[in-house]
Amino acid sequence: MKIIITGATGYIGYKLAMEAARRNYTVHILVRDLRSPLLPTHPNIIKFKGDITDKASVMAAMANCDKVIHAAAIAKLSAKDNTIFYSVNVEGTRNMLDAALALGVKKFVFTSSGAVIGPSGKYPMSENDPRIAAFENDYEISKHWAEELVKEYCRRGLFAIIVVAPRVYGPGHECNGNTMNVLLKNILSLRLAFVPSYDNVVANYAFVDDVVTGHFLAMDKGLGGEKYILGGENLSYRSFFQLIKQNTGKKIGLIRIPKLLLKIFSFFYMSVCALVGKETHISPKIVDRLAQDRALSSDKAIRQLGYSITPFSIGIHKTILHLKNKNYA
Amino acid sequence: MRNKNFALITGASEGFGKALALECAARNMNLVLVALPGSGLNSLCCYLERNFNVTTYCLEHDLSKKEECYELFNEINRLQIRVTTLINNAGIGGTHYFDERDTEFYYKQIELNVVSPTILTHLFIQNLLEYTHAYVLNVSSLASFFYLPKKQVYGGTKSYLVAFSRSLRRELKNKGISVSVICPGGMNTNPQMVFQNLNIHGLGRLSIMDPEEVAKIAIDGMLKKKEVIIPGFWNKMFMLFDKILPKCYKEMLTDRSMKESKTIRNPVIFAINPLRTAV
Repeated sequence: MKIIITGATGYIGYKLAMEAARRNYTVHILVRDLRSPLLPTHPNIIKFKGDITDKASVMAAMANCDKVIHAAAIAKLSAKDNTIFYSVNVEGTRNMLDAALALGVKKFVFTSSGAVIGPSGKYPMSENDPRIAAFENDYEISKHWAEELVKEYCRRGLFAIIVVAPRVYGPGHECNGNTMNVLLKNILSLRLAFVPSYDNVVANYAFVDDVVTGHFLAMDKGLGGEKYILGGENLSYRSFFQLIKQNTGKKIGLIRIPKLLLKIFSFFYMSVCALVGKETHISPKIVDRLAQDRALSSDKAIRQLGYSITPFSIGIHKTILHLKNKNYA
Repeated sequence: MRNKNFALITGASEGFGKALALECAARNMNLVLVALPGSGLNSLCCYLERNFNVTTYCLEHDLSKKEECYELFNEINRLQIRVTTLINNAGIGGTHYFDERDTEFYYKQIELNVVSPTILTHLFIQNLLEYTHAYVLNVSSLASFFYLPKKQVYGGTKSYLVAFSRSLRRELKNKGISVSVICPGGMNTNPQMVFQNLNIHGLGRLSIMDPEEVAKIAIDGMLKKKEVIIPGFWNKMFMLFDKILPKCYKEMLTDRSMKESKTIRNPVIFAINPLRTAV
């Protein structure tokens, strides 16, 4: 069985490729740089040079594949040139869908983001809940439009499934998609964690291995045109930092910072970055964003796919061990 | 249902209407939500009932057809729902030169933006008169005060709503019905609008607000029985500038601002759902 996986040099995509290889798929990966240090290597993995924005390279890499996991995306909240969100996340997805329909692919799994669902209300959000706050940035819009495209291609006859990854943590390499490990690394090396004063705000944290397994479950058992949230535990910042602290086995200072101070700091940081021309994701807007509840419910995936959630305490323990082995602490 | 009060919101499935529904539900107002068939109104109602202590009805009607306005009214009476607040929000927007759309489009726009709120208000006033506290809120636009290029018909329909509301308000003042009108500037109502708004620079950008902020101001203003509600600091400033600046200078400013806000159409979404983006 042949499968093509995009985004294989990314945080989740790398793990997806390795897992597919382990499951004895012949794995085609489409990568921009064949000498990238982030490439997954395994006898079952065949590398194709190309780019999802280049239709011809997509067609070449997808030829003879039965299945597709499309995990490639610009996964950050802002970029100097905001058009890349649309050319990569939307047009790239269109190329993938077009090729899949033309080549008669049997199953197409699209990795989307919790950012499309947005903030939550009283209860964790599920797949059918309406979005309750305005879209905020190009990333959210591009992933939303990509989802709309996937649904459109379903209507045209493609068997496609959307899976949603929230804030993902766990062992893996550091890149844009892996902000959680960057945060953990900082906590471990500084022995300090800055906890926002709005520490009762809840968000969803998914263990990367669960998300990867969830992709394959969705591929095997998911219904065409459906969306599945592959989440983890919903945790307040307070319990999130407490659990990290407990699992490091070291003394970690937790410093509470008021929201206003965070906003002022982020404003200055953003201004300095703008002056020196450095790209940054820190802005007062992001502070607001982090102050919203973003709880998600994975009930549908649990019920219909047999998805299971690794408890955060276990997941974070594994992650910290991994980081320690890499000498970050 | 006979002792519960309801607020009726038209065009409630998306954008500002949805934000108004969420805001009303957060204030424990029971809701009748109206939108086009197949616009996902059901999932919104489920969400509201689950998250707030409210009763909701979702009714699907195309209010650009006058028969369906009557049908909606009859349905409300048949179900014996006490509608004490009427929010006329449904409308068709658009920023384009006059010759870029055909007459059908403008006909529909006038029907939905002008005819439908007029008919609904006329019908529901019979019921509203029976209650001690009744409200009508019409959703107009800042475009009703500024005669911007590319907003001819839209601006006209919204100016109608301001005149209609202010006049009717005087008629109904002593009968216990408060009529208000809200005139928001640009709003981040749906992904296409957010996408366009992210690409606006200059004066226009200052006007833009999130629908949830505007919804709060709208309901506050309505309950305080305000006549004309202008949400946001900058929008109030624009109203002030409008009064004090000379006409030629204003036109220069708005011309520039409109040129900068070229309608940006994402080719992708346009290919998927031309209907929605035409709006």
